Amino acid sequence: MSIEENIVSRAVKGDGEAFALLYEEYLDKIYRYIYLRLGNKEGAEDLTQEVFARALEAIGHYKWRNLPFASWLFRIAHNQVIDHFRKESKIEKIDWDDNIAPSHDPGPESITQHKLEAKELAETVKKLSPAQREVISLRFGAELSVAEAAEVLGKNPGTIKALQHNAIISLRKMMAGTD
Amino acid sequence: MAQKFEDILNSCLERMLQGASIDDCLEAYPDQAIELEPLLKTCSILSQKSAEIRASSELRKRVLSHLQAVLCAKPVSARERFPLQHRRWAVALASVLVVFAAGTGIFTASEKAMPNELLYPAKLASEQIGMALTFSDLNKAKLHTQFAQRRTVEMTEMALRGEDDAVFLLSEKASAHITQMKEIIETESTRAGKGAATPAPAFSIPPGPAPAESGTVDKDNLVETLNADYTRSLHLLQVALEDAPEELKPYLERAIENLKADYGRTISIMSSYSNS
Repeated sequence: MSIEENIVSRAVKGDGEAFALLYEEYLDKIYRYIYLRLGNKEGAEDLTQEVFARALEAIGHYKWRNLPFASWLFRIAHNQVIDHFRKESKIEKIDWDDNIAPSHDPGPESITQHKLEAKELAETVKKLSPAQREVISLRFGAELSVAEAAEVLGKNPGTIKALQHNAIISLRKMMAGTD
Repeated sequence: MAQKFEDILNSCLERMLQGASIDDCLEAYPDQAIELEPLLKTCSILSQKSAEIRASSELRKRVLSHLQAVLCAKPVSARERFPLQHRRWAVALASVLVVFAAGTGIFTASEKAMPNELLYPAKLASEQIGMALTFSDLNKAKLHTQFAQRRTVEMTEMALRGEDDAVFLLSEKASAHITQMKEIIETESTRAGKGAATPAPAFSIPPGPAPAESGTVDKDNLVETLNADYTRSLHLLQVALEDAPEELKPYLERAIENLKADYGRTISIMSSYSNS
């Protein structure tokens, strides 16, 4: 049993300190994921709070064998984001076949010196298609593996990799200012 | 071909997340290096900038406060309160404490951390959050007892390492936990109708041995302070043992044994230093 499995199993049984360790481990990642999805601090803070409240209420029913803990937690976060958009009447239709690569490559210019603040990053990510944004938020914000991200979204890993590839190409173009 | 490149890109990304450099990845895939390089640079920026997005301390407090409210909102009948009946959370917490007290628990990396180590703040933070998420007074008393024992274990380790200032501070912290545990039991004992709990006598604690000028702890003074802390803590634990509900007594008995062993060892180490 891994250290995390041990902590999770303790939390499932009602150990407050174990839940606290999970909270410490995942707070920044959950916040970061939601921040990148929503693009605003206030909304991200509200939803982060709600995700942990939901997790605390539901953790007694969590079973490791069905789903890795990170995927379980981020599925809660993902559903909260979807609900948020629904309540805001921002219908976010995600096209999972959004795999068409951008037609223009900006060339080999260096973008490593490009100044990009966190807010700018969120604004840039917001310009991606919903499916690409979801994948980038899970991979870079939540730091999930492709397999975990696929679990959260209920997609196959190949789809996640394709979306990731196209999203990175799009982001490169945007960050290089050539889009 | 395109599919293959996606796999390569992802493989490089995974390696970078594990600490590999862009150059490492390009060397691993020389045929794709030209195409990979700009994308990996973008990934590097994304990764760095994402890591800068962190929950503020206000949000941490707010989430914690909300979690407490969520737990409070769960219906709890009067008989589930101190001293005997507990909610599932509290019962499970107690079982984990037994494991810790028995010394067979599986500790996480931060739970093993010692003062001055990188993960030690995480250990203290998880203790604080665990305490905040514990509602039963009985379980709070158990946690204080457990944390006091952790501090005395750390104190002994710091004595072995010759970290005198840390020994002093950890002894103080252990005492503070035991005092808080004693206060909880006293309050609950009074509430349960046992009348006023046995009063703890006033102790004369030697002044703190960390003069501002030197910034270090005098060893003789430290041994004296440790003896005073030990006597006081032992007394508080023994008084608490008399007033505590049956369920808590095994924890306190074990804590007394651990306290004797840890302080005995620490004082012996410090005395050998001061005599040499």
